Amino acid sequence: MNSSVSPRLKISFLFLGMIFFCACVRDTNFDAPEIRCGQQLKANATFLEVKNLYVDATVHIQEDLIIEGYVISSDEAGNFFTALHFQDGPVNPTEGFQLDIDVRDSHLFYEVGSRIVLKLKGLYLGKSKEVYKLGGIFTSFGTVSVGRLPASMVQEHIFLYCDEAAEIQPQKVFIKNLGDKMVNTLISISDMEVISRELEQPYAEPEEETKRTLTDCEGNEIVLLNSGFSDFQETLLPGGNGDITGVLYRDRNEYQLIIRDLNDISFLNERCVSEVNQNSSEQLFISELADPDNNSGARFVELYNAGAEELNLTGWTLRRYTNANTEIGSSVDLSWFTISSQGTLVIAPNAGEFEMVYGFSADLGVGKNSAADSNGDDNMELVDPGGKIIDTFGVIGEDGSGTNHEFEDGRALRNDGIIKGNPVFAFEEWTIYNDTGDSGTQKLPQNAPEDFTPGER
Amino acid sequence: MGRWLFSCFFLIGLPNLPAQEQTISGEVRAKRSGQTVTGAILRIEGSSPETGTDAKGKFEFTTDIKGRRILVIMAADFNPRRIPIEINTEALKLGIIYLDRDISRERSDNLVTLTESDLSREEDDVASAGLLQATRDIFLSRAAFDFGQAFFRVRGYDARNGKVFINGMSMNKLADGRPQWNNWGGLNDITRNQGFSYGLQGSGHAFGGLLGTTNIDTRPSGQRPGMRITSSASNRTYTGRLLATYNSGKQKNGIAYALSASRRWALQGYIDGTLYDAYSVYGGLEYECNEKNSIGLTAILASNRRGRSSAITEEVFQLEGNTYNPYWGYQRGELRNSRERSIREPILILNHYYRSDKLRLSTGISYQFGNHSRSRLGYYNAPNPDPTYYRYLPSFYINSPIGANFINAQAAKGGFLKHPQLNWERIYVANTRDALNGKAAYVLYDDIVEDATLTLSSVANFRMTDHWSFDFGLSYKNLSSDNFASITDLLGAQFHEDTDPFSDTINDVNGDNFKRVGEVFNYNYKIVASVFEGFAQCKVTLNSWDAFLATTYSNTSYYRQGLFLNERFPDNSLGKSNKVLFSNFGIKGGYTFKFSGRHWLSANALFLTQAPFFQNVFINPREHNEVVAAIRSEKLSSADLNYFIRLPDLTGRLTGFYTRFQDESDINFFFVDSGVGSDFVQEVITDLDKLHMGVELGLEYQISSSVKLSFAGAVGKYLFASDPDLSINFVPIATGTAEADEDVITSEGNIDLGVATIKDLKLAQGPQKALAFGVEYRDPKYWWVGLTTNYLANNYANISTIGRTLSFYLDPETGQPFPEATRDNVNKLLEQKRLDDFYLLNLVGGKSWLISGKYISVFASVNNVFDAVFRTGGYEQSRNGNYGQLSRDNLSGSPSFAPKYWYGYGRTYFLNLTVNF
Repeated sequence: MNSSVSPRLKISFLFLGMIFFCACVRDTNFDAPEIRCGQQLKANATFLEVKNLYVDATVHIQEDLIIEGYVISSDEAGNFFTALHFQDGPVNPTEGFQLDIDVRDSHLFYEVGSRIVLKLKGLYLGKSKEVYKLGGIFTSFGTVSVGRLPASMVQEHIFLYCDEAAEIQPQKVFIKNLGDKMVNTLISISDMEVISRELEQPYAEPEEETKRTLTDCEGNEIVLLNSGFSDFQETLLPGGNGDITGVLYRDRNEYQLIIRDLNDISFLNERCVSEVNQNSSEQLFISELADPDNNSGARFVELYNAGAEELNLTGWTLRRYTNANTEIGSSVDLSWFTISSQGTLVIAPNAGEFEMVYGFSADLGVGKNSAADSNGDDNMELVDPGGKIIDTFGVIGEDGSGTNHEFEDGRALRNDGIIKGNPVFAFEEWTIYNDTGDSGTQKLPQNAPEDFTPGER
Repeated sequence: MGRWLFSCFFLIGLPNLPAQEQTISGEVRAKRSGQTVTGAILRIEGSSPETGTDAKGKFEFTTDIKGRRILVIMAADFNPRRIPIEINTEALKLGIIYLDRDISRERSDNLVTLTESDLSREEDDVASAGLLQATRDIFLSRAAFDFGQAFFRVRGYDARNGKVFINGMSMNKLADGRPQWNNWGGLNDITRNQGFSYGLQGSGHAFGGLLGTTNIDTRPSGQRPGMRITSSASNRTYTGRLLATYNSGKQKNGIAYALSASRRWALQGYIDGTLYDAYSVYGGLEYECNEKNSIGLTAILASNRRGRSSAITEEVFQLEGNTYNPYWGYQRGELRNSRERSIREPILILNHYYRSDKLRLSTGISYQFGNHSRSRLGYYNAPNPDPTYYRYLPSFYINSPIGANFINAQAAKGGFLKHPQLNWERIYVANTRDALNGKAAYVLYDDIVEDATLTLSSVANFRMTDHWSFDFGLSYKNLSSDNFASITDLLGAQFHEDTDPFSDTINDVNGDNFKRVGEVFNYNYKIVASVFEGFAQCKVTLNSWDAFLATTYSNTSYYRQGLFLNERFPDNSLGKSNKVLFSNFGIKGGYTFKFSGRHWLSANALFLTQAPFFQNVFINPREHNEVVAAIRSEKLSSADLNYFIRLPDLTGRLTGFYTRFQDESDINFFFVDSGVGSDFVQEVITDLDKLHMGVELGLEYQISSSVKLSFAGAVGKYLFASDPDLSINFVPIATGTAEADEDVITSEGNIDLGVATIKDLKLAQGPQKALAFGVEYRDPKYWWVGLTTNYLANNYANISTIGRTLSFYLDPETGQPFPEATRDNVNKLLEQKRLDDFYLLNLVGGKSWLISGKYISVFASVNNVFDAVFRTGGYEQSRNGNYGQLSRDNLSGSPSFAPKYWYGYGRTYFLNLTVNF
C-alpha cells in the first residue's frame, strides 16, 4: 500500500475508534427500578378517627391524615371490581374500610395481605348503605357521594410497603355475632351451606349482581353476594357444608359476604340435617293432570297431600320433561307454599283462563310453557328439597304420544286409594283419557270444566 | 412487447439527416484552489448526450446543434454552471471554466434530520423526501428541504412509488414496496452521488416508479478523493453526529477504495423520549481490470436504534403540548422508551461494470440480511400501561354514560399532569407480586422481522448512435422473511404464559407454554417472496424532439409458512400456504418537443399493473395462512404534461399530472365497537381506487450574480375514487374481550360489511397545497444565506373506513338501525375535517474557508423560526364503529376516541462543520 496514505489511514482509524467509543446512549438493559416504599409515611390516624369525620354528608377530607392497613380483597377473579377493601391489622382487626378506585386488575399492585399507606387529603369519605367508603367523587342530580378515584390519582394516595404480603387471618365468627365493626374485614364462618332451594344454581346470573343465601345448621342466614362478571359466575353453587371466608359487607340491615375466589369456600362435608329433609314427604304426589280438548288454556296440574300434617313446600319443585327430552324443560319452584293435610295445590299456566273456566283461582299461576302447561305427551317429576324424586308421571325420555302415559286432549287422574307418590311411573295407579286410546288408555277426549275436578281428590 | 420493438426498429429505419458537427472544447477547474475537476459532466441544455472531463479536467465533444444554447456543467461537490454559448460554423474553444464549490451541500444532511422523524412514528409511512435530495429541480428541492418537515408528499404519492437502487441493485422492500433509507442512513458522504429521474421520465436503470428512480452510486472512483470529517449538532432527531470518510481515489494499480463511518446519537430528540443511537460503516473497493472492465465490492452496515413517539388526541395535546410522548418513563432515573425500533440490515454488493463506447453493462449480486425490530410493552390481564389510555384521561369522566363527572375529570387531569409518563415501577411491582409465582403481567418484547434478500440484476445500456439508444434489464429478487415476537425483558417476572388472554387459547400449541427471555412467543411465521422482472426501453433523441418507450414484465410469488400451531386456528396456522402468483406488465412512453434550447414541452404516460405487496395479501399472517379472497393486481395509470423554461436568468418547470390507482387492497388491525358487535378485527379493504391530480410549478430567477429568488407551488387533489368492499375477520370462537361489558361478535370469523362510502373523501397524503417563496444571497466572500416562507394547506387525517359502511347505522344491542341515524345525521357526524393550514419560515446559511489546502465549511439552519405549532397528519380511531357510540362520545366536544394527530417540530436548528483534507 502507498506509504503516503498511512498517516491518513491512521487518523481515520483513530477517528473510527473515537466514534464507537462515544457510547452516549443508554442501551436496552435496565436494572429493576427501586420501588418507592410506603415506609417513609407514618400513619397519624386510626380508622375510627377517620370514620368519625363523617356526620351526615359526604366529606372532602382536607386534613393531612394518613392511615395504614392490609388489603383483604382481590379483583383477580372478578368478584370485586374497582373496589379495594382493607382492614387495620393482619389479625384481629378492629375496623375496615372500602376504597373505590378506577383501576382494573388492582390485585397486581395491591394483593391480598399487602400493607398499604393511604394519604387521605383530597379523598372523599362517605357512607353508603351503612358502609364507610373512601374514594373520588360521584355526583348525580346534585347529590354527592363517594365514587371511584381516577386511575391517575391512585398513585398519589396509595403507597405500598415493600414487605412481603402479610398473611391475613380471617376472624372466625358466627352469623349471630356479626357486628358493624366487622364490616370490611375478612371473616370466616364454619359449618355453612347453600340453602337447599338455591342448590344447582350458578353463583351468579350472567352480568348481574346476584344474591345467594347461605345458612348455618341453626337456620341463621347470610347473603353471599356474587358478581355476574366473575370468573366463577357460571359455576354451580356447592352442595356440601363447610367453611367460608370473605369480606363482610352490608346493605343497610342485611349482612353480606363477598368471596375473593372459589378457594374461599370449602364445602366438602355432609350437609347438616336441617329443615331440608324435614319437609320431605312421600305422601305428596300428582293427583290430576289436565289438557282439556276444548280449551288448552284451562290446563292444570293438581298435587295432593295425603299426609296427616300440613307440608311446607320450601325447596320442592315440579319439573317437566318435554316430549322425549331428558333435559328438564321447565320447572316450578313450589317454595313459599304450604299444602294442608288432605289438601290440594293447583298449578295453572293461565291463571285468568283457569278462574274463568272453573270459577275459582288456582293456587299458583306459572305462565305459558311452564311445567304445568303440558299438551299431554310430556313427563313430570315432583322433587323434594333434598333433590329426591318423590313422584313421577310418564317415562322420562319417552314421548307420551301413543303410549300409556299420553293425556293429550284429555286427563290423567290418580286413582283413589293411592296414598303416596311413586318415583317410577305405574300405569295401574292412573286413569288416563286421551284422543288416541292406545296402550290401554281410554279414547275419550275431555272438556273443561265438566270433565275435570281441580281442587278435589 | 413485440409491437413497441417493431415501432422502434421502424423508427431506426428513418434516414438520419446528415448534419454538420462542431467541436466544443475546454477545461474545468475549481474556482478557489484552481485544481482540475475530473468527472464533471457537460451537456447542452435541451439535449441528452453528455460528456465528461478527463483526468486533467479537459473535455471535447461534437454536436450538430446550432444557435444560441446553454452549456450546463455539473460536478459532484460543485454548483452547476450554466454558460450561454452560440454554436456556429466554427469550433468553440471555451478555455478554462471555473466552478464554485457547492457550499450548500450540507443541506442534504439537514434534510435527513428533518424527514427522519418518520421513523420514530408508529406507522411505516416514510415521506418521499429522501428520494429528492439529489435533484436540482427547484420545485423538488423545495418539496424536500422546506415542505418535507410538514410531511408533504410529492404528488401525494406513497414512498413505495419511488424506486431506489444502490449500484443498480433494487432496495425497495417486498413487504410494503418502500425503500428503507435507514439501511444506509448516516453515510451521507458515500450516498451523495445519486442519479435521479423524476416522475414518468425514462431511466436507464429500471422501468421506474411513478415518483421516479434514484440510483445511489457508491463507487469510490465516482467520488472526491481525500479525507473528510463532519460534525453536527441539532435538536431534531439526533443531537450529535460524527462522520468520517476517506477515499483513496484511483491508484496506479487500478484500485480505489473508500471507508466511511458515522455515529449519531441523542438521549432524546425534539419529541420527548425519542432516543437515537445509530452507527454506520461503509467499505467500498473498486478494481479497474482494464479500460473496459471494473469490479466493485460494497459493504454497508447501518445500525439504527430509535425511540418512537405516538400520535396524540387534541385533549392530550392541550394538556401536554406538541413534544409529548407517552411511550417513555424513568427507570432508576434514566429514560426508558417502551417502544423502540431498531434496524440493522447489512448489505453486501458485488458489481461488474463493462464500459465501451456504445455499451455499458452493469451486473450485480447483492445479499442483505439482518433484522428490523420494534419493541412493545405487552400486558396480559393487567391494566393498560399507556398513560393516555382513554380510561385515565379527564374526558373519560366527562363522557361517562351515567353523566358527566366534572370534579373527577378535574382530578384525573391533575393526576395525568403529575404522572404523564409510563410508570415502570408499577410494572415491576405487578410482575413481582407473590401470588403470580413469577408469571408476568407485563412483558417487554420485540416484534422482529428477520429478512434475507438475494438480488441479481443486470442492466445493459446500448448507445447505438448519437440519436438511438436502448436499455435492457433483468433482475431477480428472493426474500425469506422470518417474523416472530421475542421476549426482551420480563421486567422482574420469571416467565410469560403464552396464552391469548381474550380467548384463553394457546399461541404455540406444540411448544412450551411458559416462555422466557430470548424465546419466541405469540407468533412465528415465514414469508417467502420472489420477483422476476425484466424491462426494455428505447430512446430517440433528435434536435427538435426526443421520445422514449419502455415496457416491463414481472412474475411475483408469495407464500407463508406458519411455524406455530395456534389453538385459535388449528387448521391453517401451521405449515405452508398456497403460493399466490401474480404476472404483471407495464408500458410507458414520453415525447419531448423542443421549441428551442430554452423552451420545451414534454408529455409522458404510463400504464402498469402491479402485484400487491405481501402485507396486503395475507389477512392475518401472525395467526393463519388465509389470503384476501378477492386479491388481484393493482392497476396504475398516469400521465403528465411538462413545460420547461431555461433562460439565462430564469429557469423553471410547470407540470400537470393525473394518476389513478385501481384495485388496491389494504388490511388494518384494531378493536372496534361496531354495529355488528365488538372485537379485535382485521379489516380487509378491496377494490379501492385512488385519484391524484394536480399542478406543480417551480421558478428560479437570478436577479444578480448573488441574489436569487425562487417560487415553488403544488396544488393537488388526492382522493378516494371508489367505494371499496370491506370485510372484517376475527377469532371465530365467541370469547370474552378486554372490556367485560361489551358484546362480542359471535359468528364464523368473517363478516362482509359491504361497501364503504368513501368516494371523494380526501387521502391523508400530506398537505395537498404547498407554496414557497425563497430568497438566497451568495456573497462572493464564500458565505450565503437563504430564507424561505412556506404555506401548507389542505391536509387531512386518515379516515376510519369501517365507520363508512352500513354497519355504522346499526345498534349492536338490537341489530336494528338507530332511529336517529339518518343519512344527514351520519354525514354530519362523519364529515371529514381539514387540518389547520400553517406558515413556516426557514433560514439557512453557510460559510466556507480554504486554509492551507484544507477546505472547511460551516452550515446552519433554523426551521420553523416562529415556532408554529402544526399537525402533520393523523388518523381517526376506528373504535367507535356505530352511530350511537360515536355521537355519544362526541357530545362533550372532547371524545374519548378522538382522532389522533402527529405534531410537527417547533423551532429547531441544525449546525454542521465539515473539514476536507
